[in-house]
Amino acid sequence: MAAIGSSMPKPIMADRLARILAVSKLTLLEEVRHKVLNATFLFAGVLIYFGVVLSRLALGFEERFFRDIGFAFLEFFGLAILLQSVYRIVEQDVHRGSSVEMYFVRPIERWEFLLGRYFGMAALLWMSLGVMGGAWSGLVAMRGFVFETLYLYVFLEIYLKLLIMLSTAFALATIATSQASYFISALLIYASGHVAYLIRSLLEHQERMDMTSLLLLKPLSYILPNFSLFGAVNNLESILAGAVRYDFYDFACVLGYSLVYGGSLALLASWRFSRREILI
Amino acid sequence: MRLLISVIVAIVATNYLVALYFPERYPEKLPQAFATSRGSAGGTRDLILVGLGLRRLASDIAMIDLLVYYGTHEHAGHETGGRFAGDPSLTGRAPPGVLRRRAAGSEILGSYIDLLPLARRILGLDPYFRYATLYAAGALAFNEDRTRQAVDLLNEARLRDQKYWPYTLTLSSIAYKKINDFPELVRSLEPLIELPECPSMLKNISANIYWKIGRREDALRIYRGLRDFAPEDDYRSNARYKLELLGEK
Repeated sequence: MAAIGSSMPKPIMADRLARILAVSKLTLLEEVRHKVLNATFLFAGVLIYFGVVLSRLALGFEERFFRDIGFAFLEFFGLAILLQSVYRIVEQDVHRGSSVEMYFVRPIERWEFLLGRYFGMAALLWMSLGVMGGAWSGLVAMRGFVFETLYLYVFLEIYLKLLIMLSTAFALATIATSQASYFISALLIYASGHVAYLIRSLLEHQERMDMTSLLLLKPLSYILPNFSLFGAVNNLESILAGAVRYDFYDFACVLGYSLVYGGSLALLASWRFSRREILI
Repeated sequence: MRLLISVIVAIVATNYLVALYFPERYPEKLPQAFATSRGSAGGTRDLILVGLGLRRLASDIAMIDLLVYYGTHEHAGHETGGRFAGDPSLTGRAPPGVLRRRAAGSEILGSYIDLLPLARRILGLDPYFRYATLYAAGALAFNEDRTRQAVDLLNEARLRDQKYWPYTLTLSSIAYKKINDFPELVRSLEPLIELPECPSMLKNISANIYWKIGRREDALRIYRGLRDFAPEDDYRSNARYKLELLGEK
C-alpha cells in the first residue's frame, strides 16, 4: 500500500530543467533590455575614446595598446553588469519579494529559482560580451589591426572568469547585509583572486622567507579564486610568438576550474537562498 | 552543513591542484617593477592594475611614461641626445611623477638617468614586451652612450625570452659600436629593421650610419620606409628632410 503523499508525483529531471530554464529566460528578458544596450553604448564610447585618442600616445605599439584596452574594458564592463544586476535581483527577490511572489504560487523550489536566475545572468553576460566583443572586433578591423584566433580563447577566458565572479556575487548577495558590504567584498575577492597567488609565489621566492605572512596568506590562497590561471590575456604576445606555451589543454584546465569553482559557489548560493526568509 | 563542507573541500582541492600544476608565471620580476615605481605617480597605478589582472595594460602605460619621459627635454639646448641624433622630437620638460633616482653603480650618467629604471619597470611588469626592451636598449646604447646599461637590460630580457634572436643581434651591434666598427654595426642591425616591432629610432640610427659610411642607397631605402610608415610624426618629417638632403624629392 502506498504511503500518504506518495501519490504526488516526484518532479523528474526534465521538469526541473524546464522550470530552471523558464526562470532563466525571464531573468534574461528582464535584464537584457537596458543592461546590454547601455553597456554596449558605454563600451563603444569609451573604447573609441581610448582607441583613437590614447593610442596616439602609444607610438610604435598602438595595436598592442588598443587590444589591451579593449580586453580590459570588456572585462570591466562585464564585471560592472553582473555585480549590479545580481545584487538588484537578489535584493528584489529576498527583500521585496516582487518576482518571487509570482513564481512561488507555482511549485518551484528555491534552489531551482536561484539556479534559474544564475543561468539567466550567465546568458546575459554571454550576450553582453558577445555584443561588446563584436563592437571591439569591428574597431580592430576598422583600424586595420590583425584579428588572431587566440582572441577567441581570451574572450572565453574572460567569460569564464566572470562566471566565477557571478557565482561569487550570488553567494555574497545571499549573505551580505548591505549593498556597500556586498560591493566591497566582491571587489576585494576579485582583486585578491588576481594577487593572492602572486604574492604567495613572491613570498616563497624571497631569500628570507617571511613565514608569518606566508602562514596567513597560504590558507587564503586555497580559498580565493585563482585568476592567475586565466593567463592568456596577459601573455598574448608571448603566446603568439611561441615564447609561452598555450594550447587546448591549458584552456581545458581553465574551463574545468571555472566549472568546479563556479559550480561549487552556485550550489552554496542556492543553499543559502533556500534558508533565507522571503520578506513580502 | 554537509553541503558547505563539500563546497569548501571542492574549492580547496581544486585550488591546490592548480597551484601544484600551474605555478604563477614570472612572479619574481614584479618586485623589480614595484621597487622602480615606488614613490612615483605610477607606483599606485601599477599596483591597482596588477590587482585587477591587467598587468599588460600596466606595462603599456609604463611604456607611455617612458616615451613621454624620453620625448621631452631634460636640459635646455639638448638638441641631439647622442651621437646619431636618434630622437628628433625632444621638446619641453620632464613631466612630474617620473622617477628622478640615480641608477646605482651605473656608468657615465648623462641625460635621462631614469631611462634604465623605467625600462626595468616595464620589463618587470611584462617580460615579453619586446618593443619596449628594444626601444630602451637602443636609446641607451646608441643615443645616450650607456652601453653597459643597454647590455644589462638586454641580458635581463633574454633571461625570460631566450629564443628572441633580435636581442642577440642588438647585443652584437652594441659590441660593434663600442669598437666603432660601423659597417658591422649596421649589418647586425639590418635584420632588425625588417621586424614590425623594430622601433623607428633604431631604423633612423641605421639610416644615419648608412649615410655616414657612404651607403646612400641603403640610407634612402630606410628613410623612405620611415617617411611612409613610421608611426611618429617626428620621424616621418625627419625622414622627409633627410631624403631632401640626399637629393630625393
